[in-house]
Amino acid sequence: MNNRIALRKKFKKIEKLKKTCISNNLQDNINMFKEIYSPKITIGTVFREFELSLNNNSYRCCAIFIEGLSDSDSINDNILKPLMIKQYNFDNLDLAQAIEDKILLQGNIDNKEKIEEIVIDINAGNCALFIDTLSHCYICDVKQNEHRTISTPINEVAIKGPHSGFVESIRANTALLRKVVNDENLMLEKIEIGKRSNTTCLMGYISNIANPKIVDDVRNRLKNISIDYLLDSGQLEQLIEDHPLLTMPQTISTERPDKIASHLSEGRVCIMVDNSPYVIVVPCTFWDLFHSAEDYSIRFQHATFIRLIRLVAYFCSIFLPGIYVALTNFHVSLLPTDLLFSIAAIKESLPFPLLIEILVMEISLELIREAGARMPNSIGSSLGIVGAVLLGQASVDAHLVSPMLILVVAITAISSFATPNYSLAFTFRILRFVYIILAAFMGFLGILFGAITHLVILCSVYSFGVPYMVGFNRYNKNPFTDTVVLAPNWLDEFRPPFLNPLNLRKTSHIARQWDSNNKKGK
Amino acid sequence: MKNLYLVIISILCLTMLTGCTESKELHEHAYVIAIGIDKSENQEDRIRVTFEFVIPIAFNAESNSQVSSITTVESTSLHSAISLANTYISKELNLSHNKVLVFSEEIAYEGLEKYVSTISNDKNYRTNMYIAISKCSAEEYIKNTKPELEKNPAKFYELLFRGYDYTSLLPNSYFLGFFLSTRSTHANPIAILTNVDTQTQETAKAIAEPSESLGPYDSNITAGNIPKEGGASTAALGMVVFKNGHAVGELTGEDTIYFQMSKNSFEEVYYSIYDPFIPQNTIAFNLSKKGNTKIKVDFVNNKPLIFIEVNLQGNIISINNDVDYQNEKNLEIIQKHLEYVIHRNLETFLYKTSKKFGSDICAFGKIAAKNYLTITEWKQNNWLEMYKFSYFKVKVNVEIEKSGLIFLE
Amino acid sequence: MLNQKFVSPFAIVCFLISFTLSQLILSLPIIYSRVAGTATYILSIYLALTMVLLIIIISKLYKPFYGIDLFTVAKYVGGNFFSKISSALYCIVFILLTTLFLREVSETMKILLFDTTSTTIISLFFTAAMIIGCSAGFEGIVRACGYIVPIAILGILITIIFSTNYWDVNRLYPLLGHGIDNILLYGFPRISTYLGFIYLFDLVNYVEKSEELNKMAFIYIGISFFLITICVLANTMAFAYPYTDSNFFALYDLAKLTNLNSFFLRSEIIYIFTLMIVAFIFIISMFYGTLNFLYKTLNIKSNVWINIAVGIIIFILSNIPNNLMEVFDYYNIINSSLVLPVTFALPFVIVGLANIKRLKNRGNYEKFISSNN
Repeated sequence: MNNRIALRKKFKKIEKLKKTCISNNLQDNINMFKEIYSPKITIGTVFREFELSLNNNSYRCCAIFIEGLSDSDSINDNILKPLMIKQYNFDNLDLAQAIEDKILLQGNIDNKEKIEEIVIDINAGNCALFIDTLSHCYICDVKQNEHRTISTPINEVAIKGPHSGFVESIRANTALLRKVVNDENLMLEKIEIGKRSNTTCLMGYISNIANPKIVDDVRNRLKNISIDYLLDSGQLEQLIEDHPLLTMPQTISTERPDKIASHLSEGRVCIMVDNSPYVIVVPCTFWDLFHSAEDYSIRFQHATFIRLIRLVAYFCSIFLPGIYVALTNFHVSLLPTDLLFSIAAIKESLPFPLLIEILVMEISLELIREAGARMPNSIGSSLGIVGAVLLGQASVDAHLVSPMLILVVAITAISSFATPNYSLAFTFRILRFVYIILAAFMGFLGILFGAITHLVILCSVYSFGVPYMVGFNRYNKNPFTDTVVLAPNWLDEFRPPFLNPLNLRKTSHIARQWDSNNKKGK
Repeated sequence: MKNLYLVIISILCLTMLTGCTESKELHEHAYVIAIGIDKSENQEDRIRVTFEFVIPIAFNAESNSQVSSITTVESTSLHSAISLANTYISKELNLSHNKVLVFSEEIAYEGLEKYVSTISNDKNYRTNMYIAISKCSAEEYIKNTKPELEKNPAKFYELLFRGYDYTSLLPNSYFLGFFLSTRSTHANPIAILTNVDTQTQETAKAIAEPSESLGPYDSNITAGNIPKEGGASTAALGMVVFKNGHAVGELTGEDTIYFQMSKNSFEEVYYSIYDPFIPQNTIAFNLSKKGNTKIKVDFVNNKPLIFIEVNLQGNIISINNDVDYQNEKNLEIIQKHLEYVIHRNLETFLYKTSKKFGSDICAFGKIAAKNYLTITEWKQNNWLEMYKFSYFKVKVNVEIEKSGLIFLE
Repeated sequence: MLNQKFVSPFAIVCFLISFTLSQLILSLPIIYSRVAGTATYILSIYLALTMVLLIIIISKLYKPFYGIDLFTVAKYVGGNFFSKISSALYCIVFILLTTLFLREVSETMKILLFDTTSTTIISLFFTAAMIIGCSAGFEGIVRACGYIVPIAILGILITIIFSTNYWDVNRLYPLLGHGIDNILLYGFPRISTYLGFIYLFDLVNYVEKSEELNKMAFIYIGISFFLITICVLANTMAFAYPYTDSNFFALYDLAKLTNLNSFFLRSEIIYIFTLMIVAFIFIISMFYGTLNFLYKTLNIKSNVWINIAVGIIIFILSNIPNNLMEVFDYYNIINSSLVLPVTFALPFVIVGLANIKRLKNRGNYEKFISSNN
């Protein structure tokens, strides 16, 4: 008990200490930092003391850094070596100016006085240089940048299009994004989220396209979050959404830089989080969850066809089991006679009512999916085949379920795999059960009650000021809305007007100038 | 406060659970596909109702059981028959897949009004089921129908009565058409005539009406008298004519051709006449429609005068080698003879409906209504009673094409 | 468009069309047929022309007051009292119409689809949809209409197109039906087909340019006229005259006529789907209208408990008629005594009086305009 009280008192004292500024005396500074970092208990922090001779005076210096996070070659070559190697003599420069202008070779340096900020910087991997009699310290950016090599994004496969995806280091991500966007108006504002983790988040937008209201709104939300640790961009999504209780996702999250670039050029804002390869894009509408990555690289006819098939897949994955239950239990008169007799032929000898059959098959399909997701890759695929064959074929042979039901469940599963957005696939899996139960209560009336109420509630949701279900309307003489039907990119002249960007036109009226030049020339 | 809101909404939603009394599994229905209604022999005011059910397990690949089962119940009305049948059949009767409704001839001559109104009020029945009148009792008709080309008797009934698509010897007799015509002020209803074929085991002779040697009259017969052997043992051919809710007479298969011509729903038919050059031979034609039938109704001395002009085209199918049919003069003679034959037969048919039956089955009332402006005027001159005083002027134009003949001298 | 609560013109036109579509699906063909016999298209042309005339007149009268809500104009005319009376009248009309429609739709569903369930269970579903849907607010309802109404129109057109085999132009004779005098006299109360007029003046707050309400009203009348004419023509041509007086479910019977193939025999599933979605979205819109005018009269903010209470009151009131015939009787009485005056006469009275007041220069017209824009 005494130990707890003593420890809490000590930590409170350290918290108070962090709010002050550093002093002129080097030894005081070193003691303060040794209290904060406790080098006797834990390894990691290095306190390197040395001496600098300038203008025939010698000053004690100390460099504090965390090994492993910082690059020791850089520290040795750019900080320790120039300060220690010779005696400097600059008559008309004082200490601070001499160090900044002539001696310190490091490229990226900063002056800091508050202990809180210095601690944050040292934790990030920088090196803090303290010099006796100076009341500020120099923060030198010597971060090490080891990361996974840039490779194909694992979960968003595109057959035609670039194959690079984001990695966990924010510096590499920034470099990749800047290479793709290639615009000097790309602003990346740094905001730190999390009281203890101080995770770096970058808010990116193109300053002469994006609507300043959206940018201000995002910045306001990011700055007014108070949590302890921010570990992943998925957590950040739920913290800044408008309606966290709704099942549907209200932000886009993607791993591909070409997708981010196209969203930024429409006027949206992207948020990058350190240690996470997924980047969030806001604001998002329902129809953006339809689009996949390669819709802009392939021809518009093919992309429209694929999107229409995706629409059918969405419809099937929510409604198909519910419609089957409603038709066979409630509205027998609406089935064609031949179909009815072929279903009824097998149903005669089965023991369970239809609702139980469907729920059991759906739940076992979810179990197979979960099991296949957690298994290591070598066993995972064979488990899928074994599970499907066992469950399907064996239950039909044992006269427990009817083959028609297996077909319905299989088509539903395939349709839910065709959904390109991972969160949306989860939403549909949950909604499917709700619709099966509604259909078992009241047939078509139950299904349509659920569907229309859900639609009306979704239509009233606003995400970052933009309505979630934006309609197929024509604004400003723009005949194409990029919802289901994709416009050819030489006719798509305007950015999405529901975002109200600063300049609306993105392509000139005739994009294929060579064609009209030819015709005029002739 | 929010918790209370959620609790109240959940209680409200729980009351919706009581709605699933309607839910019935597929195997808890007994599917009726044919209903037959007869008059009972013993008691005066009772009817015998025959139901034919389908047994779905017979559609499994392995099973060899019977496909359909037939049962007959006697009671005073159709609905009490259904409730009686529910007691001894293990599942509840489901009437929404009923394909055909058969009445016997006695009931048709007595009056179909009460059965038709009860059935049309009930939303369980589908109004595009077929209605048929059978010369033998309805029970015999349903019992003797054994489909050979398909397993499912429901499909057999559907395909059989859809024959009006490809042959002109069958009319389209669906229940809603029948019901609308009983209520209509423009027309009178008809229904198709069916019978068990009694001549399956012995060779039959064609029973034809005496003619003035105008044609062989292959199809001038009704169902039950078709000279055939083998095939299905029941047949549908001919029509029953109704007026004021009860039957007044029959028409043969050949009359159906003229009925379709007057009603403008004629497609094509194989027609044969005696050869004008060699009276023992017959020439067969394939006639089809060339333009709509023109009908006009005038009133002369308060009696209707109906002009009909029928336009047909066709080509010769069967020929005899002795006479040269390529010659234009010969073809003209044949054409004129064909027009004369059709003209005579059409007139006979029309006067039969007008004088003998007095019922407007070809719906000339729709054209007669063009002469009036408002409905009250139309109702004052009661068209259905005026029809029996009507006169007809018929004109037939046939164009025989000169192609199709490959036999040369 | 960002952070402003505006909705697009397409969605507003669809919202107005749903007021006509709901009547079309249920019992409009038989009402027209009872008035006009075989000349139902003459009646629909007559009503459409009357509506066009009314819209032209009222847009000319409303010109000095563009951008201002009708009830604010009523405040200008007679003060707070007059404005509260008008919104109370609107509220009563909406409550009665919602009650009757709820009962009619539940009975129709019960007769067509669910034989053994009682009507109150079906009404419960609609009541729950009403209450939950109205918590979404006006933009949600109108945007949802913009999605649902085109699908419903497609469903109706497919139903009618599948039945063209059975059309016969000769069934339209005798040409004038029951007579021109009958059509003009008894047909005028049927102008309540264009019920969307009742909500036209409250939309001023939600439209960006209120001068465009004219154009939207004309497009609404045009599309409604087209749909109504096609539907009643199909009904008259497919079923002969005396039967059209007595089939209450005209489009359902039309849908059952399909006979293309043995597979397509059951195409009435499209009609049933259309009926359900139009019924849901219309009853949510009507309930929202009730609540809107109720809150305007009592001058309070929207509250969840009052929503639930009014919903339950409407559910209880809808059990008063004994069967479907009584619903039509009540509707006829209410139509001629309450709905027609309030919908079509009251706006003219208010705007006419306001114009007279403005011309006589009493009441400070400029101050009123500047304080409300």
